[in-house]
Amino acid sequence: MLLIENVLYSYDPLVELSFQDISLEKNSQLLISGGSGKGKTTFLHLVGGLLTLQKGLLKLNGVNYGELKGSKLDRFRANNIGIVFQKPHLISSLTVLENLLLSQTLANQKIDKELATRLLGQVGLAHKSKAKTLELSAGQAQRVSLLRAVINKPALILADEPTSSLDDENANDVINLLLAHAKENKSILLITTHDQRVKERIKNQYLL
Amino acid sequence: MNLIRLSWKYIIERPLNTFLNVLLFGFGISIIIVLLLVAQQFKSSLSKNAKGINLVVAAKGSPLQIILCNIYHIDFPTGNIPLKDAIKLSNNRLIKKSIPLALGDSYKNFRLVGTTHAYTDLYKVQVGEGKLWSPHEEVTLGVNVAEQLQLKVGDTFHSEHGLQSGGLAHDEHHLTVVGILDRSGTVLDNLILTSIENIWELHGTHDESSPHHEDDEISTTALGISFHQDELEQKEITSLIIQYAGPMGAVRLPRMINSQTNMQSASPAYETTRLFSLVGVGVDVLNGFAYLIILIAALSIFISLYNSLKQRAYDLAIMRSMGASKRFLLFHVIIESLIISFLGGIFGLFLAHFSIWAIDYFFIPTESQMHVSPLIFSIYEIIIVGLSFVVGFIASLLPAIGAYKTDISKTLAKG
Repeated sequence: MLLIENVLYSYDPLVELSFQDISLEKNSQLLISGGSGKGKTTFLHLVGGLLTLQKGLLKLNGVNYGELKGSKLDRFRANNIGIVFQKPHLISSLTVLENLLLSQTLANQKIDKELATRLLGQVGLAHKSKAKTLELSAGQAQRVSLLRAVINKPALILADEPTSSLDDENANDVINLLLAHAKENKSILLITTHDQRVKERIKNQYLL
Repeated sequence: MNLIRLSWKYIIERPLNTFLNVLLFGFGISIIIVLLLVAQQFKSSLSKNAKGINLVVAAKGSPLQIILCNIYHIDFPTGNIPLKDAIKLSNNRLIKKSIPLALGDSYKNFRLVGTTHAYTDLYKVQVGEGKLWSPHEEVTLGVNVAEQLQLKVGDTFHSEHGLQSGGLAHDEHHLTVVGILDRSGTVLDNLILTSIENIWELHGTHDESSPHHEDDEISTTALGISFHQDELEQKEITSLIIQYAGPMGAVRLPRMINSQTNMQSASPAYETTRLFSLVGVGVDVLNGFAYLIILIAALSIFISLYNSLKQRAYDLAIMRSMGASKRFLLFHVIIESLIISFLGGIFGLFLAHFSIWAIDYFFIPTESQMHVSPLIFSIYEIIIVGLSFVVGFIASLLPAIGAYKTDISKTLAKG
C-alpha cells in the first residue's frame, strides 16, 4: 500500500508545487498526466526518493520512507522501488545482461543470471545478452531498462514518460510489459505521461 | 558485478586513455626504481670490492683515478712507482698488509694483473679448478674470463700490451692457464691474475740472459716478489694496496705518503663517497624528472576521470536511482583510479627490471667490472608501488567527491 499525503515541493520560495493525496493498494495502477511544467517529473522523483521530501508523508507498505535519509533511503529504494525513465540510460560500459545484474548487485541481492537471462528471453532479447547496450534499438533498450527496474520485484514501479520516445509498436510492447510485471509481482504502478497510447490502457488517472 | 569489476568495465571502455595513463605512471615509477636499484647495486659492488682495503698507493695523479684503476680496474694507471719505495713504505709499522699490483697488460679486454697470492686472500677467493699462479708464465683466471673466452686449464695465450684490445701482442711469451678461481662477485671474477715477475718478463725488464738468473744467493724476496738485489733500483710496480695496522694509520699514513714520498695515496672510502656525491647530482636530477612524470601521470588520471565523469553523470545518477549509495559512487571512482595506478605500478616494476637487463646487456661490455643485475630486488620497490597507490588515490579524490555529490534528480531531469 502506497500513501502520499500533503506533499509540497518548492524549487524557489515563491513557487510551491502541491500534489494531491494518493492512496494505492497493491496490484493497482495510476496514471498521472498534465502539461509540462506542472511537476510530473518532480512528483515522481519525490515518490521515488530521488528528491529530498520537503513536506508531506510518503509511506510504502508501512514504511515512512519520506523520512529516511542517505544510505538508508538508498537501500530502501534499491529493494522497493523500480524506476523507468523516458530514455533508457543503460550503462554503456556494460553488456545488456550486466546491466540487469548491476541492478541485483546494487539491491544487495543474489546475482541470478538465470532469472536475468529468462527475462531477456521473454522480451525477445536473449541473443543480445552479451551485446553492448549501444547496439540496441531504442525500443530494445527501453525494454532492457524496464527489466532493470523490475528484476528485483519492487513493490512500487515508477515510470516517467516511458513511451514518449518510442513508435507505436514499441510503446505498446513497453506498456504491456509494465502491466505484466506489475501484475506478476503485485506491484503498484505509477506512470506519468501525456502519451495518449498509455492513457487508453490505464483507467485510473489523475490530472496534475 | 562488484565494484572492482564495474570500475574495470569503465577502464577498458577507454583503452587509449587507460594506456596513456598506465604508460605515464609506469615510466615515472620505472625511472625511480632503476635509479634506486642501480645505485644500490653499484654501492654494494663498490663496497664489496673495497673491503679490507684502507689505502692505495700509486704514482702521483688523481686519487679517484687511482681507486678506479687499482681497486675496480676501470680507469688507467696514473703511472708506476719504484719497487724500492714500495718496499720501504711496506715496512712502516702502521701497515699491517701491503699487496703489490702491476697492471698494463690485457687479453681480449680482460685485464692482466700482476700481484701476489695475498691478493686472492684479501678477497677470500678460492681456486675452483687447478691452482694459483706461480712466478713464471702461469696465470689463474677469474671465472668470467674463463667463461667468456672459453679458456680451460692448460690453454695458452699471448697477452697484449695495454689495457684495451688491439695492443701489441707479446708473441714471445706464452701464458699458460693453471687455474680458474671460484665465482666471488668481486673484481677477481673478471681478471687474469699472474705474478709481478711475470709482468716484468712480458715487458722485458727482466734480463733473461743475465747470468745471475739462477743465482739464488743474490736473489731476494720482498712484498712476496722475488728479484735480484741489483735489479731493485730499476724495478717498478703500479700500486700498493694497503691495510692499516690500526687507526693511527689513517691519521698519519696518507699525509706522510703524499708529502714525504713521490707517491700518491688514495682512500677508497673517501673517493667512493666523493664519486657518489658527483654522480649524485645527476641521480637527483633524474629522480626529480621521474617524480615530475608521476605528477603528470596523476594529473592525466585526474583529467580523464574528471572528463569521463561529465559523460558519466547519467550513469552515476541511474546507479543512484537503482539504489547505489553515495559512498558506492565515491569508491567506484576511487577504485578506477587505483586500478590504473596499480597497473602503472606493476608496469613500472616490470619496465624497471627489463631496463636494467637491457642496460646491462646492451651498454655494459661483458668484460666490464661494473654489472647490474635485473634479478636483484629491493624492499623499496614495494614502497614505491605503494606510493603509486597513494598518488592514484589523491588524483581520484576530486572526481570521486564529484561523483559522491551527483544530484540524481537534476541530472535525470535533464535527460
